[in-house]
Amino acid sequence: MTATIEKAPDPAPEKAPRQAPTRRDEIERLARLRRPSWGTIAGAVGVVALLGWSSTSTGFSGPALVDGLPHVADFVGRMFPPNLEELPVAIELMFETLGIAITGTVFGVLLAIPLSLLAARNIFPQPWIRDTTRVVVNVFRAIPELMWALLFVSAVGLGAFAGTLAIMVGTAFGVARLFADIFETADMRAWDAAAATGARKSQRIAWVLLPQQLPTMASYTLLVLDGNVRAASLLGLVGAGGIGMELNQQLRLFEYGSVMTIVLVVLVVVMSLDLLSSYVRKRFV
Amino acid sequence: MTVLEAADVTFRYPDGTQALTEVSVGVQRGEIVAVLGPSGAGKSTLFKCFAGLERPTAGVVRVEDVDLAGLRGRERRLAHHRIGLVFQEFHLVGRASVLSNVLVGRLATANPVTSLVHWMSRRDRTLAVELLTRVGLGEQVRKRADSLSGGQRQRVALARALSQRPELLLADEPVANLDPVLATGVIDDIVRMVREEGLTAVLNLHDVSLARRVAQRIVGMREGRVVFDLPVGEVTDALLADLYANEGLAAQAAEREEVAA
Repeated sequence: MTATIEKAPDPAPEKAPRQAPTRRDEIERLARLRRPSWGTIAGAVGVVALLGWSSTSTGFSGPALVDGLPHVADFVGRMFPPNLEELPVAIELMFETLGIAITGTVFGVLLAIPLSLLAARNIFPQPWIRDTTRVVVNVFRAIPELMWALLFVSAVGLGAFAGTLAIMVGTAFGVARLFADIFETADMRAWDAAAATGARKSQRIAWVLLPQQLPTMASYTLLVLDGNVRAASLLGLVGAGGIGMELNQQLRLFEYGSVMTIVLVVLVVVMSLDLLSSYVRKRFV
Repeated sequence: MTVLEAADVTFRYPDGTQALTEVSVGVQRGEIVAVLGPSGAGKSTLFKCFAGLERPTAGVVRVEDVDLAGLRGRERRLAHHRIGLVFQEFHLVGRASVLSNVLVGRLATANPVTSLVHWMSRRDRTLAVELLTRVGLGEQVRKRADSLSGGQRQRVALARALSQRPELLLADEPVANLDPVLATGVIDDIVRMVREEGLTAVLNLHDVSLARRVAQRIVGMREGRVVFDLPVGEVTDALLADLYANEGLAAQAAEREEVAA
């Protein structure tokens, strides 16, 4: 940088009565570039060090990447032409994947609603209810879907059921936090008016809170479904059903044409779902 | 017989603002009383105390000889159910249908389980539709509440309050958000329904001519105190001029009250 840097103030305090700063001085003082604080410098050094450490620990190197490029090209080259004989299998498994994602999302959201109500301050003002629920939700939310899938595969065996359970549990805790925040921003006037008619809290949830917030909840649910289809395509890697299982197998058999077909099917489905859900969400909100 | 009785009600907000000072008002069965006064006079606070939404710092409010502050749980809910409320800003569920908004008034006595899936008895639904028809919204029953005009929304809120089959109807500035022509129509509807149902009503109003038009008695309030409490025929222009004198000062008080609320 070529900018002038403000000098540190003279340590010796001036004896003469300080003159009131003129407007000109004041403008120039404010216009000068400030020297970055020691905290900023330390932070920048820290970020650079972190990047250095993480790239060495993963063996990241420019030359290796350049050396590898022909192999990448070779790999992509062998994926063409896609093996169309694989198409029926891929489509059938994509339906299974969608099934896992949709069933898991629906049941996950149904589980998330009671959790999110307990975690919303304006519904349950008692701090111990809200705080306990929030802690539980945050702890389980930190577990990735693939780990849930590994757990459920060992619990209920290989297959789509384990995958559905994994998506369901992952969604339940992830969405619970989201819905709790949605509920906390609700306009409570109609809620208070319903309370003043003598309606129970459960009735106020069913008649006031949910009708008010349903469009926002539906919109987020579609977004979550998007993510869950992508997650469900990977679950097969740990044997929890869906198209990922087939992908893994074809990769091991070096059937790159079939791999390409599978990737294309996933691509088409995920992209069209993305378009559909963003269209529907626009109409909701 | 006294339906609503406030005895020496004092109310202080947590920040120390004194909104009500020793307010005593009694309302007889079948009476329609208007509470009048400049903004900041404490009308809304008094409404909240009457409705059991706030508990007086000192003094007591009794509705049909029951002090709401002393009740809990089911008894408290059923006591609330006997008081119908109408708010300045309607407080409806905008995305729900007009009918569903009115049915909210029937929840307290509905089946606690089946009502959760919006399954209400034929009797409750008939009552709701009948009330809506009587306030001129027979055509709007299935429409969304937020598709209605302000005057229509306040009529939905009125129908919700009446569907509780209350003994007492309290309204806090029910027409302050409406233009004068609509306001007169809505106030007339409120009073007509109150008469038809044989209810007792307390209406907080800002507008003197509306109060004179519908009330049998006017309670004048200023700076948290009752200035006069007279049959409408005895409320002279001089009294009203005094009530609203130096409204600038009162407006400052209103600001304080708003900050406190």
